[in-house]
Amino acid sequence: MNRERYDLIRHRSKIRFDFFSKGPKGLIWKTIQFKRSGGNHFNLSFGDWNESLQKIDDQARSNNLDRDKLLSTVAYAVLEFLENFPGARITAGGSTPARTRLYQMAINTNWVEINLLLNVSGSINGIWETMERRKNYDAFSVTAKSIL
Amino acid sequence: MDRETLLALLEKNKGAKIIDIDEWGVLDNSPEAIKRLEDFKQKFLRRECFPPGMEHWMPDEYKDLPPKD
Repeated sequence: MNRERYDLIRHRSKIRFDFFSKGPKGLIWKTIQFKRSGGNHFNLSFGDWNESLQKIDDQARSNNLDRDKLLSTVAYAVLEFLENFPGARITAGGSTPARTRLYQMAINTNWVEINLLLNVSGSINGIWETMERRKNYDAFSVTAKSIL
Repeated sequence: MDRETLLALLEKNKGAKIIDIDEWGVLDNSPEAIKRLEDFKQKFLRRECFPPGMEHWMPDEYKDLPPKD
């Protein structure tokens, strides 16, 4: 995955990554977190880090004109996470339709690399299937292929 | 951990791709991080990390070690 991306700060737990989006709106603190939902299942949370509330604001739309770099950074964090937790299944469902589209774009933008390294499923109305690139889904789920 | 600490770490390690930090926001392999961990380990071995009566939280591999001091 050689696309331009931001340097990531990885916490000791290896389930949280932080970086700063850089653009016309300045430096915006972004956080990616993998929250265990049971067994090997993790939910991906991504958004602006709200320092005063100490939580991710997954509704924020920062429009810092760096979407592709942002998406490649998230995709890279997913790969890094799976290297440390190879048996994990990561599910990402957008908090809003716009956020779901963002995740879909992240997968599409990095499709070649993702398809090589990950098994990707998409859910439509609660039914999971192997993801097809041009189809719209409500949520996504990835696991590492054994080569990771 | 605050914004300035993270930005300073990123600036200092520009191009590193991944910067590993500990719970206190310092580099995992920095002398400060190693010292903090060592201090924590010593406190742990002295049972200072556990409220009275809660020593059973201690992982089994440490239970047979005599408390220091």
